[in-house]
Parts: sequence; structure tokens; C-alpha cells
Amino acid sequence: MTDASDEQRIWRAPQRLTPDRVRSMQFSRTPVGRRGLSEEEVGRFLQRVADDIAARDASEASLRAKVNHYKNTLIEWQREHSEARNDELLLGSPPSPAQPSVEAVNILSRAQQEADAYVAQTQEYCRRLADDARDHAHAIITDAKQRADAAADDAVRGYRAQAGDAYTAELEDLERRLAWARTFLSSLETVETQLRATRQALTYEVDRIAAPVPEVDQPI
Amino acid sequence: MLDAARLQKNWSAVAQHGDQVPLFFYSTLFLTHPSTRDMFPVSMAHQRDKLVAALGQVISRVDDLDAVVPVLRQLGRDHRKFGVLAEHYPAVGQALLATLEHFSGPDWSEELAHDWATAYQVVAEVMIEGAEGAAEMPPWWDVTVVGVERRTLDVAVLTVVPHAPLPFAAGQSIAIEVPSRPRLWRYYTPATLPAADGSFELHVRLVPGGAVSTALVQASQVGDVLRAGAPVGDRLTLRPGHQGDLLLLAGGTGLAPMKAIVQQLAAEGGRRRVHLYWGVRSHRDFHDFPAMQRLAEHDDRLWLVPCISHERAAGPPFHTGSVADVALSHGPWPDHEVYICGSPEMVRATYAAVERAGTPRQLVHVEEFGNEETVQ
Repeated sequence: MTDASDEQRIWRAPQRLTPDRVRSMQFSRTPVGRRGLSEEEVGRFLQRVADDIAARDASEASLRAKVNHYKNTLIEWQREHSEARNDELLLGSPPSPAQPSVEAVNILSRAQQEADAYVAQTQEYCRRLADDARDHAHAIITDAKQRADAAADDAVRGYRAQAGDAYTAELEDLERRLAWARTFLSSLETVETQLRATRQALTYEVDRIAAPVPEVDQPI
Repeated sequence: MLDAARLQKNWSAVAQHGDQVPLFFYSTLFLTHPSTRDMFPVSMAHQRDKLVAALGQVISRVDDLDAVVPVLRQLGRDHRKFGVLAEHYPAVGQALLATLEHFSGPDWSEELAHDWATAYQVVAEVMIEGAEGAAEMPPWWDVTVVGVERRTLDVAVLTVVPHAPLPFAAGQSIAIEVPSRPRLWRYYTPATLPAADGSFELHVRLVPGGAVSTALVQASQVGDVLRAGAPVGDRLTLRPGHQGDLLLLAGGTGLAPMKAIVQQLAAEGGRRRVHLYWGVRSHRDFHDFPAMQRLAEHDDRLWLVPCISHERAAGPPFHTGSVADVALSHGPWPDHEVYICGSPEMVRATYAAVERAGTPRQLVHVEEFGNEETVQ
């Protein structure tokens, strides 16, 4: 649970949003009676996510322009060298002039390893997120079931107390089932409302992250 | 004539350098032929292991390359979906030779270079031949998602329609690529035979951290276009001519091939009886129960036995226990053909139990990774 001073620190001095910060983000519970998260806090957090994405969009656009520039330069370079390479055959060919230096190979290898590490880290993070979400879901359902069981017991006691001679086992069973279903559903609905807003925002972000970078001309 | 022993000795010396070898190979390939980079996923970690394993396999049998021909042909066919063309093979050969030379150091000689080049030429020719032999088939099929149902916390059922006919047998698997995860292919087993419009069902379990399954389960929408590779595998297909009764043991989304098998048997109208044991952890994990129940109701040769391992079963028709325990307690199953599909753990445990019960090995059909994406 975050207290007020934590909030101040988080919202007043915005840093770039990192997975770690998202992960460690906690929302306060609403006071008395109502279960769940503070809508206002969730809203502010999402606003913050949106701002961060906007900033990233801008930097991404400028990076993409740079990438395009390099790609085009590369294509030109290849075009210039392609005639020289065209008649090369594998068997018995002398070391190709296009053979890169070991330094170049190693630099690319290091870059690749770094990329691999980032992907692995991201996957690990996603795995933990999914695990947490699953645990959370189990907890929500277990909790809803317990509340429903308790409400059902209450309903049965209430029915017995007031039924008197009109008591029938069928009616008691009906009361029990009704109370159970009502409580179970309303527990889930509370959670659902909170989740919907968060989910919409996250889906938007996931789509954006997942969107492939627009293709430029293929080399060769 | 190439000197097999010399090649193998050289390879084992080079392979000592571990991950550096495939790293160097791919970096060289991408620097000399940048267009090939686009055929691979962002992360190359798994790719490097695959390359070393494949090379090792070929080199260990380099004195009898005929033995690897079927594998290489299949590999060549399979590579078409990555966009590999005949003209890419010399580029790979070049990078391979440069890599071997680099790691051989002073041991490198003209004879070695010649032997490697010759061996590679043979491999490349067989793979190209394999690819060309499949030229009448498209390298991949575009399939449109026409239905998405999130059935449980982590299982979604997708219905897809291929743009061109995509025939397959029940129990075969199809590699799927999602547009948002380019160059990552994962195998899934269709849970139905192609319907009149060619559509079929995929049962996808979200594997935490799994790139493709996460995208399929969480982000799939009607109208998405996925890519499907050529159907592969014959481990879970029905053996032609076999007439014995069947015992199908499925865990979770391992139900998919079994559902397709049941449909194929019904379509063939044979007399084979089928007992299908389907196990999940808790009641709410039966991701396709109504459909399976309908199949069983309309087929008097099919018995469906739902099993629950991590909860007490609510009563008939549900049974408490693992698929293997429940099925074997209902046995014996003399002369039944046994098909097993599910998570690696489920398959291992079930296979061991079935074997302990004395089922002859040739009657047991197993697929290791049903519909689970694997994450290393």
C-alpha cells in the first residue's frame, strides 16, 4: 500500500517509466466497505503511462528516421558492391572482398548477445507477470467463493428464523443458492469494473509495443 | 573423396568454443548478406543452439550422408516458410567456412576447406532438392482468424480459415507465426479436421513468458491474419490399416489432437471404439467441455472420461485423479492403441505409467509438446 508521501514522490518527479516501476506500483485500497482499488489513483497512473508513451513516440520517430537513413546508405553500398560479388562461387573462391573483419563480426556478436539478454529479461518479466496474474485470479475466485459460502449460510439461517411452519427444504435450498450466486457475482463485478479500465489502457500499450515497425525497402 | 575422420576431428575441436561458434557464424552471415537477418527472430539465443545441434548431427554421419537425406529434405521443405531460397545456400556456406577457418586457427588447411565445402555442397543440394520437391505447395498459408474464445484463464480457442486449401490429417501439427512476433514459429495441433470452408480450431494455452502463445491468447482478434506452415508429424496420426480400439489420454490442451482423431474416426465410420480420458487440474479448466460432451452423445463408440487432479471431482461424470491413474484403474486395455498428448510432465508421467502397466511400446503413440509453447 502506498502512503501519501510515496505518492508525492512518484507523481511530482516523473522519471522514465520502467518495467520495474510498473511492477512495484501499488494502489491503495478504498476505505470502509468498498473493496478494491482507488479509481482516482488508477486514473492518475494511467495518465502517467500515457504521457510516457507519448514521449517515447517522439524519440522513436526520430530514431526511425535515423534507421532509414542508415538502411538507405547500406542499400547503396550493396548496390555498388553487388557486381563484384555476383559471379562469386563457393567452391575454390578466393577470400571474398566482402569478408568482414573479425572486429566487425565481434561487434555484431556483442550487439546480438545484448539483444538476446534483453529479450530473455523481458520474457522472464512477462512470465512473472503472468504467474502473478494467475495467482491473483485464483485468490480473487477463492475469496469470492468464501464470501458466497458465508452469505449462503447467513441466508439459510435467516430463512430458518423467519420461515416457521412454512419451512420447506426446497425453499431453503433456493435461498442458499440465490444468496451464493448474488454474492459471488457481485464480488467479481467489483473486480471487473476496476480491471476494465486498467485492461483497456494496457491493451492499448501492448498493441503499440507489438506493432511491427513499418517495413522500408528490402536490402537487395 | 572426403575424409570423414578429419572432418569430425576438426568439428569437435571447433565445437569446443561453444556459443562463440554460432555467434561468429551468424554475425558473418548477416554482415556479408544483410538481407538474411530478416529471416530470424530478434533473439538468436535458441537459434544458435539449433544450428550447432543440426551441424553436429550431420557431421557425426558425414561418412554416410544417405542416412541423413530424409532429415535434410524435410529441413529444406520446412525452411521455405522462413523465405529461404536456393540462392541463400552459397551465402550460408561461405559464412560456415569462414567460421570454421576462424576457430580452427593453425589447424586449418586447404584439404579441410575442400572437405567442408564438399560436405556442405551435398547438404545444400539435398535441402534445395527437398524444397523444390515441395514447390507445388505454398511455402506458408495465410489464415484469417474468424473466431476467438477465451475459454479459461489461460486457454483460448481460435477458429481460423486458410486462404488456400490446407489439408492435414488428425494429429498433425502446424507451425503458426503471429504478425506481432515475426520469425517466431510455434507448433499447434488443430483440434478439428478442416470444415467445409476449410476452417479449423486451435486450442492455445498461454505459457507465461511465451512470446507466441501470449500474443495468440491475449491479443488475437477476429480478422487477424496469421501464417501457417505445412502440416508436419505422424506420431499422433492414425495408422492406416489398424483396426484396434483406442485409448486416448489427454492433458489440458493436449485434447486438441484427440478431438481431431475422434472426428476423423467418426468420418471414416469404422468400428473402432474410443475411450478418451481428458485430465485438467480443476473443474474450470475444462476449456472445451460442452463440445466434447456433444461429440460423445452423438457417437455410441466414444466414451469421454473427464478427470480432475487438483480438486475433488463434483461427482459423475467427473473422476478425481490423474488421467493415467483413472484410465489404468478402469483397465486393463488389451490390444488398445494408446495415444498420449499434453504437457511434457503429463506425457512423461503418463507414458511411464502406461509402460509399467505392460502396454507394448509399439502400441503407444506420444507427442511431446502438444499445444504448449516451450520457454527455455
